[in-house]
Amino acid sequence: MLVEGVDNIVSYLIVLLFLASFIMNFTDIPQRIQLQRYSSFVRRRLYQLEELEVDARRKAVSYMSSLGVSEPAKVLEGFVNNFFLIRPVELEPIDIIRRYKHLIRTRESSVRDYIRTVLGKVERSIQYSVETVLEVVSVIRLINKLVRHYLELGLKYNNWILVMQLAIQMPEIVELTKAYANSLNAFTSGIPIGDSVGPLVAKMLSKWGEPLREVVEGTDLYEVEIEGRRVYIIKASGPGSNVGWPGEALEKVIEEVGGSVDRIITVDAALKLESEESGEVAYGTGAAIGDIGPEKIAIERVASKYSIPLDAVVVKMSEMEALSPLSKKLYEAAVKAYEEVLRVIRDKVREGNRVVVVGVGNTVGVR
Amino acid sequence: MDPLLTALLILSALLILTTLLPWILAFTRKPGPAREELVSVLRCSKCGYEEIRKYNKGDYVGRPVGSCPRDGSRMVIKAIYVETLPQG
Repeated sequence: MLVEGVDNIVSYLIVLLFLASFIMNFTDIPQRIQLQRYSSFVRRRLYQLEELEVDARRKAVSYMSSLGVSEPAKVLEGFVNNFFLIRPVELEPIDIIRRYKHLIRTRESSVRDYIRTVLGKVERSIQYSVETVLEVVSVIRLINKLVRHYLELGLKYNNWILVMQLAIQMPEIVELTKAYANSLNAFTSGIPIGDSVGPLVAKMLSKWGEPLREVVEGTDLYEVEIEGRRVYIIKASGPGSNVGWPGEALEKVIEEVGGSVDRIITVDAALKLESEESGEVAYGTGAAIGDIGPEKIAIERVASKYSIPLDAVVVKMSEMEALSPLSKKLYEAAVKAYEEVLRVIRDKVREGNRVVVVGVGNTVGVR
Repeated sequence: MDPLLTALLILSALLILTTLLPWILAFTRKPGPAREELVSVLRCSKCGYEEIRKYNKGDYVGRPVGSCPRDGSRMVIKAIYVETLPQG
């Protein structure tokens, strides 16, 4: 009797297995189930992104209120969906850098006009910080819009591959958005971030002194003597959130001394590979600058015009670290980068000659 | 009990376990949040004396802050960073 019952169960199981195998292999049902699973996963993460956006908006509004801006929510709304930049035609490469530069400068000038109008007369560093805060909220809004767009597109056309890809990328997207949201604390309080290592090294070289002059708008020049070498140091004007125009400033400084410079050294934060340690300092050749084009090419052009060797010292870090308040580990890496710059100056620049060091990056929290 | 049925049941249990294991491990191994403190490093521009104190609102690298306890020279903030402290 018992053996007969067990036989029945086994028969049912075999039929069930056969049916399951048929469904798995010859229908779209598993994909539909997966689509639901992945879309619900994306939706849960999207709630997280929305919370981050609400939080970022709240921080931006309270920061502007503390600066006495009337109707800060309206100011924020007027910014986040506007001030886009249409890339120039890349099919025709002639004068593309000039066109890029023109568009970037035009956009920046419109953004600055908008901010000046709402802020009135305030310190320039505060103006720069407000600009960055608005840009950060704008980026978080854009990420949210893009994620929702791809989710809705995938669901509309039952494109389970698209939804699956989105679900797989979501943890990374959420991390990046969190990094942007966290950076608001640093920008509103004026604390250096990981990306500030370049300006920090420049400041160390200047012995934390005052700049000689503003060489181009928002970019300072320092001049010091290190072991008999004349060192020109270029960095964005701080302590507000600002990256300046390091390429244009370098061009101007080199032209002023008629190209009589032994070496150009650029110092910047660089994105690390997952297999690399944060805070690794590396030395190489080229312009260390994460620019869309105009500033980087200005450095390369002036270096090649006068045949000046171009060195790069980089501090490796993740995107999250680049946007978060500077950690002790990265500060120690900045000290190592400073020592590396000193070594290059000692070894490769003759006494009595000139060298230019450019500290590239956001100078928030660094005067 | 039929050996086939037993084998099927064991196999199913193993499959469920291997599917859930990484998920359970991820939950049990989750480390607690680390304690962090924002500090400013002050340096005497003359004798190089250094001092670390808690970050104060308005601090920035290069800001002059008081005088050196050793020689009375100008102190400046040379660094601001986040220090991770041991839990507890």
